[in-house]
Amino acid sequence: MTEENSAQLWESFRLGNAQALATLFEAYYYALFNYGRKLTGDEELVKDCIQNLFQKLWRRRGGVRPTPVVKAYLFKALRRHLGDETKLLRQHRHLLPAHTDSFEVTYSHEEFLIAQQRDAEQSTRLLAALNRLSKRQREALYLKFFDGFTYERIAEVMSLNTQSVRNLVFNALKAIRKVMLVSLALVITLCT
Amino acid sequence: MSHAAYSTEDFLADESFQSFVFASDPEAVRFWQRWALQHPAKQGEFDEAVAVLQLLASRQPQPMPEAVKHEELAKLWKTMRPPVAPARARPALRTARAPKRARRWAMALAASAVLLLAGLGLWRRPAPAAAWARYATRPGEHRQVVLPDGSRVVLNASSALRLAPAWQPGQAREVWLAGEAYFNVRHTAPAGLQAVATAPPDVKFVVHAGALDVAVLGTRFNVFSRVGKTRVVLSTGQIQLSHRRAGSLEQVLLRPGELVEYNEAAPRAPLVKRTVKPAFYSAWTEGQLNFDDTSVAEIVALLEDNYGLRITLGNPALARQKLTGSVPSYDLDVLLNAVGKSLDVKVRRQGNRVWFD
Repeated sequence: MTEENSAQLWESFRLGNAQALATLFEAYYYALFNYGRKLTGDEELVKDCIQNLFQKLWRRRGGVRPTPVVKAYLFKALRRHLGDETKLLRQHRHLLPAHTDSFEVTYSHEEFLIAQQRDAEQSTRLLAALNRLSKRQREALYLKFFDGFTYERIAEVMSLNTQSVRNLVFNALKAIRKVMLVSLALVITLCT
Repeated sequence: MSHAAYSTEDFLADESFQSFVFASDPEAVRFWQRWALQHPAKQGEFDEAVAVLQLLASRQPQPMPEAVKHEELAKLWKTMRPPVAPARARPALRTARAPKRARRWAMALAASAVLLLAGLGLWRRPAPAAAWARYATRPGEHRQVVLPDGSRVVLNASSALRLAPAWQPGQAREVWLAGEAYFNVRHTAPAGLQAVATAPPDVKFVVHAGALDVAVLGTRFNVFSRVGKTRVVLSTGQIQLSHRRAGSLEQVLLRPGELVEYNEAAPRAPLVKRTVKPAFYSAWTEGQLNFDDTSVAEIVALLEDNYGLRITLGNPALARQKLTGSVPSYDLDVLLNAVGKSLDVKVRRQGNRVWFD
């Protein structure tokens, strides 16, 4: 869905059109679900948070702001909901130290399809590089390459400024490039 | 910084360069392809950056059952449209035999009648040179599509809509349909221009369905086209319907409330209009299946088309019985039970095989 289409649906929803909100729900459900799952790893919690987020939007439709970038708005809202929920869970169960409130994005083998011959080695290297990045770098990379957000939108979702996001991604890619240098050099010589 | 001074990392972090590697922006693709040719000295850094980004982009979509989304969406609908109190619910279906017998199950049906429309597809990166944009639905699935001109289409189950990836101004808007869809077409012609027959081709919207071409300016209508049968029903506005045949072109003009059906089994029969209630034919868009003295044979065909079922009638005479009424269409089991109960037969279902005994 284009930003323009979703912005139209958003306006229509704010005027009380339930179908418009349902259409947005359908369009972004998997993207939201996968992002939430990346952040917390708890699928049931993510499902509940997405459901609560949309039910709340519907109840408060009269007071909801207009937004030109619905997808980023929804991602940001889900991120906030998940943060609140995990904080609550921790307070109740004392399972984890209270100060670890930032999200942990981890990458797994299943997410990458690497077509090259030495794929196993290359993908192991890539995963190791990705998982050595800082939490924020990992999240920014996820939003950039898995959800196709621009630096500006990532900044909105993560409540950072655009320059910080640019730096996060720049440094992350630099680290990945360094790790991949050996195997990539090989690929390039084979290809040319 | 000038691109010529770029390091590998600079290429990597450049958003336009990323769009080029992911082919998500045709302009960026053109720009960087040309740039690479003009700057052979940078080829090393350029190729390396492409390789790193391609690694990151080689991502496998995470499988997730469609059922989770539908369940969650149904939950959302329940809070947005709480079920109406079923105190005086009328039977949702009645048979031709016993039209007035009230049935208890009807209350449960009415209570669970929830509008379910599928949304637009998941967001995805558009391929730069895709030959067609294609939208398709699975059995039992509905989907709403917004076309490049802002027109809206609701696709019924097991249907597919195909169109050019971009619509050029000055050209007719054209789509190809297999299955069933409800169109709400935006009027792009000047306000004074209302007659489709005399309008220039560049403001028309044309649906190609089977052997028929449905041309409109801005209207709402339903098109059904499956296994040799094509049916067009107009809700508002005007339709110019053309039948392409070797050596001849037959055209009729439809007014609101008119239906035309074409059957491949009788290709020489002229297109005949009849007046109907258009809401009846578009009820499926609101999660309803409507029957109006509809034979069980037709209902069986409809269920097989829309839900990918194979239905066996224990008693062949059942096929001639007729039903009138409406049932919610989003929950197949509720729907099958309703039909079974009103026919007074047992329904068994195993996957996509169904028996009415």
